[in-house]
Amino acid sequence: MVIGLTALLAATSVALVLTAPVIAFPELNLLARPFLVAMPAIAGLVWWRRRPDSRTGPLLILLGWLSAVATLQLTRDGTLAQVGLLADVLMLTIQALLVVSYPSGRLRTDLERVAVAALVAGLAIGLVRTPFAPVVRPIDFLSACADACPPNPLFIGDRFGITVGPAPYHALMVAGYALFVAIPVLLVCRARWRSANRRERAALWPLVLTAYLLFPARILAGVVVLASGGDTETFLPIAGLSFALRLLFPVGFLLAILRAELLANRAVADLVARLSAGDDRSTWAGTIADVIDDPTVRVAFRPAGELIDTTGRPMGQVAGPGRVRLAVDDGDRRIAVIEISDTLRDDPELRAAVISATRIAAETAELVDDVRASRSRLVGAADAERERLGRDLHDSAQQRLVALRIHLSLARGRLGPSGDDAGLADLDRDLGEALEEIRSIALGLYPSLLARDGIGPALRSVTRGWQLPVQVVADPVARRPEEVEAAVYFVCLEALQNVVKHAGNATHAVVTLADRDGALELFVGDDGAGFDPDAVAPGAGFNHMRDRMAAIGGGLRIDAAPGQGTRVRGWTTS
Amino acid sequence: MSPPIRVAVADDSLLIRSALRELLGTVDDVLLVAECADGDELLAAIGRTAPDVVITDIRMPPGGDGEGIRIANLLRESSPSIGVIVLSQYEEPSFGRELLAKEAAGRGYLLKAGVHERDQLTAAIRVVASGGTVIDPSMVRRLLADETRRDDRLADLTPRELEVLAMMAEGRSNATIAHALVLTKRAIEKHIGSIFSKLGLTEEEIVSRRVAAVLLFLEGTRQGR
Repeated sequence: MVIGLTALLAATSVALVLTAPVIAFPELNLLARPFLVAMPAIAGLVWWRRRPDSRTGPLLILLGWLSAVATLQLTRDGTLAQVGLLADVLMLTIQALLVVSYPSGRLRTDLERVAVAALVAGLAIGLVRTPFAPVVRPIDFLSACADACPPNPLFIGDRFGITVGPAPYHALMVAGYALFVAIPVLLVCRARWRSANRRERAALWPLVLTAYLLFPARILAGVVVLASGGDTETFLPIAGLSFALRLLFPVGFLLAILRAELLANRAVADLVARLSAGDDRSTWAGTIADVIDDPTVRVAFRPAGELIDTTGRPMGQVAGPGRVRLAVDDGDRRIAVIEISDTLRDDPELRAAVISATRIAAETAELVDDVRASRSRLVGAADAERERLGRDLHDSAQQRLVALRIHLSLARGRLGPSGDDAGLADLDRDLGEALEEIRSIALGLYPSLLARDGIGPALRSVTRGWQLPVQVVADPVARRPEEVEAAVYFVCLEALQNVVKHAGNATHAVVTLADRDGALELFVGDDGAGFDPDAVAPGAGFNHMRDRMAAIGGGLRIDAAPGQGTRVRGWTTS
Repeated sequence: MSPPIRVAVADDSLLIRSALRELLGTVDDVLLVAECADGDELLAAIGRTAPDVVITDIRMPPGGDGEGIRIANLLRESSPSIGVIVLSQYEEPSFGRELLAKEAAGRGYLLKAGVHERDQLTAAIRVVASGGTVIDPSMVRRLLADETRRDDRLADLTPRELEVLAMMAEGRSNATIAHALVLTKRAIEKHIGSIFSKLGLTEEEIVSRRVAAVLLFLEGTRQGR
């Protein structure tokens, strides 16, 4: 409906321009009138949709509609022109009100209230002046009528002998505008800029460059027009600037809301990236504080009962004065409560951004926790299964073969020297090899020495007898939980097996284990052929090693270069 | 002829127990007095049958891994005269070291994979019965071959001395070492004297010097540098 009415009014203003008698700037009128109707209405609609609570949207729409009414001044009919002129005067007030009450459309400070009081006073004085002008003399040069201005139907000046001529009329208008409109508005603007933080100033720029400049430009234009004595050459440039700023006024508001949205989107991206980068939720309050430029941010995660923030301090039942709490919910579940100072009151996009970024990061962090926990459970289950298999091999297959070998030995003894002729010696050797194979498989599945003596001795044990000499430097490292030692052991073993498999010309390999700040660091290096990490995609083996370290909250990195061997570095978090 | 050596066997595998029973049944000077399936049974049987030597699995109920070593250490306190042979599937010097740590006399560490060698097993029984120390020969050979893992004290030994030390670890007497290396008993005694002095084992420890040298052999193969 708003759109339809706006379109109708814009069309009407075009029709009024086309049907008007003599007018000063016909082409400019044709172009500018519909723009002056439509642009504020469009900006107002965008505002209204994005911020339904703000009065800025409706005020902008009203501004556009009044522009259409102001076009009536072109009719040269006294009554209609007077209505149009009043619309023009009202528009000056509304423009000022829009800037003073930005962005909520409401008055918050005493200065703002004083400014609006001045506006109302200025408007009243302007209206009082009206009956004393013999003709309807437009204040807007678009509606200029020069010597052909229609008579003022409200004129009562002749009864009192007071008539305001063109020159004093203009001078009064400029002085009144400066005193009651421009100066109060600019004072509010100055105060707002001063109190704004870095983020708020970034959002304010579009408005500063358009709407804020309109007020001084108007005064300047008015003074120049008066001083020039009507010389077009002199006042046209500054009048043109003033007019351009008037056209830009609604554009500034449109840019301001779009910029606020853009900044909010950036803040979401920034926040999500920064929050997700750190597992440590205790740093999130600081990150949010940094992004929204509010050092007082406090965050409580997974609130249950009393709110405790990330520094461990209770947050109390309700937010203190000048502070607000934002609830971060996922369906019925409350993920977090964020308390900030009330500076985001006028930036609902950013407030929503903080909430959704925190939700995304918290959900991601929970997912990561879940994945890590389940991966760790999987790896733990796999390790337990390996251990069970290894023991089963020891307990059943190996025992059976040992017993079999004893029986074979006894049988050979009974047969005497002829027993060897029957190939029993071969059988005994085969049994010996089978036992050795089972021993080696069982050792690979789960080294009994790992739980007993730790990673270093287990690695020494398993690599004993390899073709490739392996030096294990692991003295002394503190013992770790079973799953951590298993992960480090198997990752080292896999790295060493890779040396045997892929670094064919390696003459030796080194394993180093070291405690560093409570964490365990592993290093496996060789002097083999190496490879070009950019040319060779990481294989399943490497991914498996990395997953194993990740499952215990650690990490893994491989450095290699052709001809310079391969170095595997890993670390645990505890 | 001296009375037979009384032997108690403990292993949770019925197959192993019966195979060992059969194997020991063919040895004249060994008498099997008890067969047990776990550590508790074994301790009870020892009180009842007074064996000279106990052959026990390293891993069995109730203690699981290391049960055999635990029992060997218990017997060290209660019946120091009983020799103990621990049968192990682990070819690990650290297990052997643990068995011999406090006092190596009358202790043996044999690998299950080599237990079918009747002569080796009975020799080990005799050695521990007389208070000697035995380490499985195949394990000794492997440790000896592993030149990268030997500490400085053993590095001073000549290859021949190392060979002699390894045979001592296997529980062999000077005579059998001499026979194996085709040397005179006198030459072996000279080598052993040199080993003792290089390892810093003094005259005062004469009784246990042999055992101490064996322990050092196991120790020396621990350091993986």
